[in-house]
Amino acid sequence: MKVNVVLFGTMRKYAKEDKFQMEFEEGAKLSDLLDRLKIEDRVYIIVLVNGRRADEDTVLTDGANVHILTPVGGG
Amino acid sequence: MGRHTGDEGAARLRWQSHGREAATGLLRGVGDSEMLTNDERMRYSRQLVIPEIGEAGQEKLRVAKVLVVGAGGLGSPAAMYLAAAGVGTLGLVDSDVVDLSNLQRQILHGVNHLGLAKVESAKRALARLNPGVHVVPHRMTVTSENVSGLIEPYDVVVDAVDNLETRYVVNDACVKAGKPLIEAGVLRFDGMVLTVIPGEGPCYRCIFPVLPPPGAVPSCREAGIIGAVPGVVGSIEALEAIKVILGLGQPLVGRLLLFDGLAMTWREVNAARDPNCPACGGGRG
Ligand SMILES: [Zn+2]
Repeated sequence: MKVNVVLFGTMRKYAKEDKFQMEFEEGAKLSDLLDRLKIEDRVYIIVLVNGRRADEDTVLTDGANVHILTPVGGG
Repeated sequence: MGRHTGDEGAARLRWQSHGREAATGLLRGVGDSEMLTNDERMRYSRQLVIPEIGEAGQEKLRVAKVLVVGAGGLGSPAAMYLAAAGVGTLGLVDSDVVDLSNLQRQILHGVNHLGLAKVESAKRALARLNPGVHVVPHRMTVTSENVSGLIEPYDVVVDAVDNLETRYVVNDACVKAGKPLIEAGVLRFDGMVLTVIPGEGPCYRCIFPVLPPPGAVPSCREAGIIGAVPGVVGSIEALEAIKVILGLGQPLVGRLLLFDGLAMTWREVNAARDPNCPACGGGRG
């Protein structure tokens, strides 16, 4: 199955593009996606899967939209 | 010469518009006291001709009260465009004074105001831009103790603060008071915007539930910011506030807008309300 990924802000450094697709076996979890992008455990991120906050155990589904964000607090 | 001719053209449009509105006013029995002055018709002529705005919209802007929290990189363009558009009452909150390191992005302030309170500097700059706007300076630090009294007199709140902590304070107070909030943040080349209409869409906490631990997320002081980014994002905040006041278009409710100034892309996340949100959860609204 394929999932759509968008990286925002300081997350951009984990891939060449800010928007791309990734292929996974059925049953893959968000932790698998984060591992493949080599996003370290200690990095503070908010991940939305189909617009809802997700955690590492969230199971990915075909066509899911995954947004990996960090809050930007400057003004 | 060309400019002069252009202005005469605008004046003709202005008087045509006046004629239409006057006739409508007569039919509706609207008194002259509600009409714009000649100066205002000239000043706002370019937005009065927009069918969605017109004199009725201008009157809504005139009676609107908007609070801009933060008179820095985001607050500068937000406050300037709101004042220029004729928002009648503009509150400004900031505890800082103008510093030389601000001027690279905080375009409300200039070298002549170094050392002056930002809210006072902003008040003077906005008075030069549009003396018809009532600017209310609030020189203070926003806390969970003083925030509800601060936002109470205003119709719409624009969050333009320079730290994450205050975003949560402002978000929670707006959700509690049921006040529309235009929320935005920037860092380096990136920005995000979300319009919060309590009860209608997610609030800031629905997406970012808790304040990150100290040091987990860099600040502008640490990571930097290029001034044009808050220029773009703060301008969007002003436009969102104007849309909310006028009841126009589709505000960014439930749509987190992400701006990447390096890639020059806009991404939109359709974000849902979190039923367990610490601020707006519980299915109430
Ligand atoms: Zn919420």
